[in-house]
Amino acid sequence: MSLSYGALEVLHRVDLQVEAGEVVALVGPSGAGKSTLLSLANATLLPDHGRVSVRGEDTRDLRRRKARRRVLSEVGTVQQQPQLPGSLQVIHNVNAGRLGRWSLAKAMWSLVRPRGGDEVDAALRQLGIGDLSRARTETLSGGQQQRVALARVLVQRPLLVLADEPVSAVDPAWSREVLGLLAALASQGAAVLVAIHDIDLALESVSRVVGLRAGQIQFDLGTASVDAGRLSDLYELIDR
Amino acid sequence: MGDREGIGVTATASPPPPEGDRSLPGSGDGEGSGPRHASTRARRTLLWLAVAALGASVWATGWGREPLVNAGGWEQLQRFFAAALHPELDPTFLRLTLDSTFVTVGYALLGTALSVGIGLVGGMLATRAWADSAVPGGVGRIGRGIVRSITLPLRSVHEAVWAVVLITILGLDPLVAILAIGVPFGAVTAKVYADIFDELPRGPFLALRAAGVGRPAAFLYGVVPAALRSLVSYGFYRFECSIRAAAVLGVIGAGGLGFQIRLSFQSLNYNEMWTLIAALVILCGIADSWGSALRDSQRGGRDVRVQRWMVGASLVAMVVALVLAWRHLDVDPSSLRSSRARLNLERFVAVYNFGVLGRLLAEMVEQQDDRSTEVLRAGGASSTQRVLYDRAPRLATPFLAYGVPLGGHHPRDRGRRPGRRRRSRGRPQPAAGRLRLPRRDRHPPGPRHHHHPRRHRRHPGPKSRPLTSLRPTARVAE
Repeated sequence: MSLSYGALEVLHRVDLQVEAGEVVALVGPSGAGKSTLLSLANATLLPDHGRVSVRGEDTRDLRRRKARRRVLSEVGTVQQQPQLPGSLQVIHNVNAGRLGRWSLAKAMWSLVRPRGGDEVDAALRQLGIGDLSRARTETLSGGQQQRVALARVLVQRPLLVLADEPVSAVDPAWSREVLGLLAALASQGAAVLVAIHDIDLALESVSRVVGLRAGQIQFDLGTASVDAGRLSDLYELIDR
Repeated sequence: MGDREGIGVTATASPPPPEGDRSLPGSGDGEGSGPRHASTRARRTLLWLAVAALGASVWATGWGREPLVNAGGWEQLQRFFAAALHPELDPTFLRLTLDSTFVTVGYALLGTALSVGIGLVGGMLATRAWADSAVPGGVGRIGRGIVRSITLPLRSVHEAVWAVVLITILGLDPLVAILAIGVPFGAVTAKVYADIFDELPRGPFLALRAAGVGRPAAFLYGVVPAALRSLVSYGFYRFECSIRAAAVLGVIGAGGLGFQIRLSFQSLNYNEMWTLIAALVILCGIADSWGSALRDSQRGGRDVRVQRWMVGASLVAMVVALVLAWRHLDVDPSSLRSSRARLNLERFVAVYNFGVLGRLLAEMVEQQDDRSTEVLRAGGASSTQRVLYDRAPRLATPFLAYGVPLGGHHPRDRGRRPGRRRRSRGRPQPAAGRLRLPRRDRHPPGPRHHHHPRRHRRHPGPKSRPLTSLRPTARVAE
């Protein structure tokens, strides 16, 4: 499929499929269209030509609220910055991952009497912050807040995980932990697409690497077949 | 006007100065002296005009030609201030004062609750994040424009004007005061809340939207928590404003402290007036100090527990007070749907339509942003073209927002609404038959309600009372 913003074609004839249980790294220079590709996958954007389907459903058909909720509630998003309102308790911020499956009334009532505390605690324990569920999020350190954001994705139990440069601004140990968690989600049956700049780290922990440059796929290879030559071609300065 | 001047200045400044001039030192001064001279002259003319207007105004007051001050008034003024030392402290009157205070607080509370409700929903719909997170290709983004264009005319009309309009429709009913405070303040609150929401980071909200969360729930978890303290704090500020507004509405006839003050003033009973004024001052003082204590506690650097406690305690107190106010004022929302109200609405539409709506339309035109019209003018469009392509389309939505609800149903449809209990057909209802069952039949009137102005509207008489009769009978003014 293709997508343009006005005259600027951001993605051109991109053809990509991510299977369940697979972690696919999306690499390429800035402006290659990685984030746009992820926005197409969660139906924030619609393609101009071609089609994007998530779990077999065309994202164009997700204009209807019910279909949109059904599909997108199974799409988890991991961002570079944890997008959490600081004044909420951790448990509410984690529960927010399940809102797509909750009615509005249930969501409102949960702010008064939090639901699903056990599952939240389990996810927080898995990330090593099991005792913080009733803390206010803004009192946590930056690293702890990133864990809360990941716990939110865990309780969502997503079938597709989209991660937009989740490890660009974090220390190496935490980077490994994040990618390990994405791999764990994949082993539970999720399809994982992660845009990433750290090639070495990507090669360590993913099964497939897709090189994107100027809106076109340059290569789509198993981790073992990616070599330095291809990568340097990919990141070579673009002549405009 | 400012925009127009701005455009004019840009146009004259745009041609570059000639090459030769630019090289001469000091040529800028020479060039600038022309227009500066002109503007000084214009300013001097304006000054003289202002002085002349001032002189004419002074002349019109009759200064120097006839006595300006009513000498007899001094005596009244002395009596008025002397009475301050002897406020009326009769227990019966104190009870009346207390009761009127409750009425005023009740109006303010319920009006504030309504305005905060309108503000929350309207503010949410008018938020940029709400519009931008609409499903691609969906219609979800038009809400912002609709809300903005409806709230503009609503908030540009003063609450006293609303009260006058609503009394015409509803008669003397506590709902008049509540709606007169709640609707314009709600529109203001919606605007302010939308601004508060717009200033917050959108990331949390959009992240939830990407996970399939509906917009209301995403808003609740992604935006409201961060805004909560500002929302509560502003709500309290609105409550302070509402108390003053409720007192003013009382003077118009809605009951409460303002109304009693007017009665005491008309009967020249200054001692009573001072008691009432003292009650009003104390009331405003309490609301002010509570509100400012709340806002103070929310400043940076304060203990988080204190902040949360203040917000929580204020919210709980508000809810309790709301329930009490609802019961004290005996509010009955069904009077909104009563056929009497609809009948009056039709009269209102017929008689006031041109006057009031015309005035509202004029205000809307005045409040319009002129810039887009100026662009058309600069492009050579005639005045008709400017109306067709700019003014009319922009005014259509707010004007319809006024016009449709006012003229929305045919007089013959009166009393017949689909899905409601239907009246027997064929038998025309007499005017009195359309009146709501007098409340007196349901609740025996207690002494507590005796002076409540609304009581007198509910006489089970053969005809409804005159719409604009605001005079109660419990305390006779004369």
